Amino acid sequence: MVLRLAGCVLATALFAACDSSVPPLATAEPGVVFSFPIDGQRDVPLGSRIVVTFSDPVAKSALGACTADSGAFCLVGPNGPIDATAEVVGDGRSVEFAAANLEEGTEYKLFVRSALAPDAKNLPVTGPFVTFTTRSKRPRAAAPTVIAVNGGAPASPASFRPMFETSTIRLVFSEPLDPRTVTNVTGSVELFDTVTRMPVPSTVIASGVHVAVDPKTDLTAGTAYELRLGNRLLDLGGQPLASTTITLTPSNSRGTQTIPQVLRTRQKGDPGPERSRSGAEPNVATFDKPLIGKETSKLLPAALAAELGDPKALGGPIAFTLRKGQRMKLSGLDVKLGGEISVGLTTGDILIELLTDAGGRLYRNPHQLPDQRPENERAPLYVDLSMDVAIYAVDPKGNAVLTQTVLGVQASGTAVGSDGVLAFETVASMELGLLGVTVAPTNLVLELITDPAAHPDTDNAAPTLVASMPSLGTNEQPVDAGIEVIFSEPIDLDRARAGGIRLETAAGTVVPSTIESHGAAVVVRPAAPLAYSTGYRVALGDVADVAGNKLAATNPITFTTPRLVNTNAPLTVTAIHPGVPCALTAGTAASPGRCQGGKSGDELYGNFSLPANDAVEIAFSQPPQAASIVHGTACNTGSVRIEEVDAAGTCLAAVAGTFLRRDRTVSFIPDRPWVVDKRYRVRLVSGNNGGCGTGEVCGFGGDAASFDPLGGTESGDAGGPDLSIPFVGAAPSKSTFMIAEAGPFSDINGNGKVDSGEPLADKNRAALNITGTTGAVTQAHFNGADCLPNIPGTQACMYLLGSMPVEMGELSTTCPLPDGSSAASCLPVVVSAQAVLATSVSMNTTLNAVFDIGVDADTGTTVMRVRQPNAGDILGYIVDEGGVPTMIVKLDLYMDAPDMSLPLGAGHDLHSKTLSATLSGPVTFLPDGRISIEVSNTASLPVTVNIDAPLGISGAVKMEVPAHEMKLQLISPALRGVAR
Amino acid sequence: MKPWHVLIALALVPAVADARPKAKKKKAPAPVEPAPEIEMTPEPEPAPAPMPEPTPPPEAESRDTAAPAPVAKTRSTKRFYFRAGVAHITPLSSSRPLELSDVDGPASLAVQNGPIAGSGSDVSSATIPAVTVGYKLPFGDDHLSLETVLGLPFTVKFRATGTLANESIAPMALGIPTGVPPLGSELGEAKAAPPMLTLVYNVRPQAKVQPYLGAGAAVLFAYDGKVTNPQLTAVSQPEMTVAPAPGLVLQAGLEAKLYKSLYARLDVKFIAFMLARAEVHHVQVETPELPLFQTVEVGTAKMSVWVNPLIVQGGLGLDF
Repeated sequence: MVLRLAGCVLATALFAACDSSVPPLATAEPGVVFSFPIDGQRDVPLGSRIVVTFSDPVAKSALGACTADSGAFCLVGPNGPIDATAEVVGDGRSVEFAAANLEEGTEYKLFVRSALAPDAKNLPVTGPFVTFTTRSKRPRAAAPTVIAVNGGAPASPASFRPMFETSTIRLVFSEPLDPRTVTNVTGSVELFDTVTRMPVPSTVIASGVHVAVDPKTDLTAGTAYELRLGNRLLDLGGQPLASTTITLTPSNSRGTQTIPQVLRTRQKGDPGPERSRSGAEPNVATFDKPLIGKETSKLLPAALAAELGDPKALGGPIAFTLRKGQRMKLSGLDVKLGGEISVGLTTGDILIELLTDAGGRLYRNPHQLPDQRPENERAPLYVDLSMDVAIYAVDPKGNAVLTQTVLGVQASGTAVGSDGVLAFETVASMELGLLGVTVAPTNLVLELITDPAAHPDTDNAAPTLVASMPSLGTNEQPVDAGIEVIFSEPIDLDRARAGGIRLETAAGTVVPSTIESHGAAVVVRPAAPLAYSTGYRVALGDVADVAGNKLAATNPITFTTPRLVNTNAPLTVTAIHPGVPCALTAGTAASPGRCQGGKSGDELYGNFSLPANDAVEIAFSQPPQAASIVHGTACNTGSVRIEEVDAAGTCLAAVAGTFLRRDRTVSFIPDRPWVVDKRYRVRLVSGNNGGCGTGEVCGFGGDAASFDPLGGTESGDAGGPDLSIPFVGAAPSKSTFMIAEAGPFSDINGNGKVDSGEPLADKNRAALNITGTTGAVTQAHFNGADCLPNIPGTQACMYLLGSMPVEMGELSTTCPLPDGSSAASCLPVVVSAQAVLATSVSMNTTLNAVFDIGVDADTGTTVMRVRQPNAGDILGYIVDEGGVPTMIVKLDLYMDAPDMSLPLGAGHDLHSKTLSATLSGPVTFLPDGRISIEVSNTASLPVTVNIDAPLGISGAVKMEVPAHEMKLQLISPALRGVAR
Repeated sequence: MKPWHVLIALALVPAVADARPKAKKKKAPAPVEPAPEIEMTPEPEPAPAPMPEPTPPPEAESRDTAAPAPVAKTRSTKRFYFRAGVAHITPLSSSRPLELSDVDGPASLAVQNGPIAGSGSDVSSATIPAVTVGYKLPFGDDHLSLETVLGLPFTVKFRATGTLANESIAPMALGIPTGVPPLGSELGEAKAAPPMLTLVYNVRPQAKVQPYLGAGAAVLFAYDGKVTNPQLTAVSQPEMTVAPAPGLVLQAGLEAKLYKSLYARLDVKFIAFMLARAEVHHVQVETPELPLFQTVEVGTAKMSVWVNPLIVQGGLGLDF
């Protein structure tokens, strides 16, 4: 009995106590593990994906409407909750706004409430979960200011991202800077060592509102450095920065050691965590813009060498550095307009090269308590990564289109140790320039894993010269534009700036200029406009990539600026957005009127409007006298006025904004987007006489402008009515706007003639062929050169001058073509009702009035106004024609030859004479990346000029523009070198 | 990170089988021999049913009948016995390398699932009081008995050996020194008890000195296992489990009758094929060189140890 009892006791003890359960250290509480943007982030690109990831699946049913005070997942701007739909993505743990319509330069608050994740313990009881501010690239009337230094407010150094010995200093300004003024010199941007009292040699790169300052050698921890920003820094409008100094002291991140690492892009099958912490497919870049549809590109295998700082140096966080020159690779894009219409442009692999030392730090999850140790599921490590990158492509033409510099990329994410690798998954958002005419929000989820066995690529390839604008030996370079030199890969900027690339006159005199980084391209931008009619060259004496591979010996790029012949012909406007390029008359409440000087029966234009996000753009027929272009900053002042007006047209205030004056164009960007339905007016003042008075727009020859070209375009026609365009603000447009210039063009000085030395631009001309005469006109032929030698007789060339504001819309399946057919899909293109000026042709006619009278007459400038039937949009379409993207548009025109005079009191009917032409042609890309829309008339275009002479003598000259002999090549602005 | 240990437990064993001949053939008529007290104890144990010869106990018989019976064999009527004493347990252990599993998270940057080369562990010896309790089977002429050992659970200490003791098993993570030091020899301890049952064959049940042999089975149960290594317990107390480990017992010994039913015994057991599998879960260690992490959870450490203990037990006891 005793034994039995003892046995039971022993057995019980044994079996009941074989396990010893001691609870492990407490894990983190459930809740948010990641968000993008991070709290307090500045300069968040528009189009960024707003995402919050939780440790556990969320309650999808909690998503719903948002008010100012309620809603489970709401993004609230100054005007209340934004109208966007939140979605649960990934594996049910992430919630995102994928395409929130954010406004630039605006603070947003993201509210995340417990209904979405009832178990979450780290949501705020009140207030926003994350507050961030969007990027603003809009120029401002005020002087520029620094709004962020290493991600923080300049006045609050504690908010800066920590700075280390290897850090690149990244600045964000309140508005874009004039790139010519951003240089590494005293008074502009200078990093100064307070110990040695010497400037720190640095590579300074500027792009828009961003400036990166990358010291050439690593800084010394603990030493104070002064970043001196001087008043030589100007904004695009010429306003200087108020000089300021920012003191930065790098922390000691290296301690006693740095630890090399190799990171590589994680590929399918690689070790690492199963789940994305950002709710998106890793290593995929998404480009989303109606112009090209939604495209994705995968990150291809690539390895990056990294340096980790001493893990103990910062007491927890670990700094890391990715040295410049390293590359990642994206799969190429086959660019399709609207996502469907191939434009025959493939990029080949897209490369991303670090232009400066990139880096950041690993630190504990900020959504948990500071003492919460890292834990994959609920408290993954955080990582921030700041970088400045060059983006370029393997395919030369794709490269020319795509290559660009993107500064201030702020990636943040999580780092998870798993399967023997540390996996960094970071989310970044960029705004990539797209086809030179717009930007595409690009969201990238970059996942890198540690892999000691991986080897970063070694760059042994020397850069090659891919293209330039201007191209070798041409004479079209705008005098105020930069010279684009496009290489196969990014080059060493310091080397180029040290004299490796020089702009010189033909005689070898160096022309002061700056060298800008644009990915694999550089822009050599003259400090002052070049002279007309002058030869220049860009010498490529010492060009190498960052790895030191040198460009093979290459001849200088020689070019000539256009020949500008003096003239007294008045300047006029060839294109204006919004509006039409003529002084208006006969306005009503329903219409701003018609062009002054046209027939009274001319159609009235529809009311003008300007999308909130568009700028006012004006193109001139000749360079205006610079001093005459004065932006009015108060009502009724200046020669160029952009004013807010009342219903009666009375000025209420000058619109605050930035006025950009270029050689042949001006732009105005308001400080704030145009307010929908608010009335505004653009007015260009010409004066009542031909003299160039104060406050009048004048041509380069010193004569007042003429904004009623139908009243004459010759020297005696200067002055006259102002160009006054009333418009209202409209909702922002998703279309892609550009002013396409007819280029190259012949009539450089805009006097309606082809002067000696002006180029004969065959891409923009109309050939006239005389097909017969009637009545008293017994003979007619053109004088001068034969435009079409292959056709019998003499044809005259009218060289075209003009610009065309166009808006490319979203892909459509409603595509009625001029011939009555329709296309399955198309990209609609709204063509603005502008005017094209054609140079004069000389004609000899014989009038039979009892006896033959020979008459020589010049047409003078021919004005071809695009009509706006029914005051609606003029729609063209880009369609896929046998694999070729083709623009098709039917233009109804008014044709005027206001300066054509016939002897003996004879008259003609080239006055608001109607014509219709269907134009068609391919959309292509030039070697320098610009879009070219090269259209011509699809059918012969008959033009009959009726002549009436006194005594009842009448007749006509029958002419035609043979099919495809009215050529118009519309070219998008330069991608990089466009005048600032 | 660490490893672990295993628990071994031990088997304690003494056992003796013995069938003590109460009737002494050579002293058959022993009228002067006082009856042992044990005879006076009411014994609830029923006599085994299949007794071939349901004779009364020899002593009683001798008391009742003065004349010695011409019995060829004398069988013990005292079926139970105990021997209390001391057992010394010496594991003849050998271990496989410590094996890690469920390694994930940051720990995976430093160690991987699988064995740690050169690592090992063993267990310490123990000396404990132990009682052998046996039952002589009612057949086999007192040659056969079943016995087991009762004893207080004892503490077994586990020690690291090889690289586990002398080298950090996670010196670097991604090339970064972790600061995780070598563990040293101390690993942990556990309470152990190895219940066993052996069948004992007493070679000479009636002899003064009775050699015997035995064989049986044992199962090692361990409990209250805990990690005692300061490196491993600096963050938290890991959870340790030891699966029951069966083994085959081989036994031999000598028993000497000291006085009446009082016996002395020297017993040796060897438990073979006793593979103890221990797991330590949620091992967390400090990473002093990586303050970013501060601590890292290693996962599960598995150790398999051939315990194979040799148990030497001496004791005194009575038949009853």
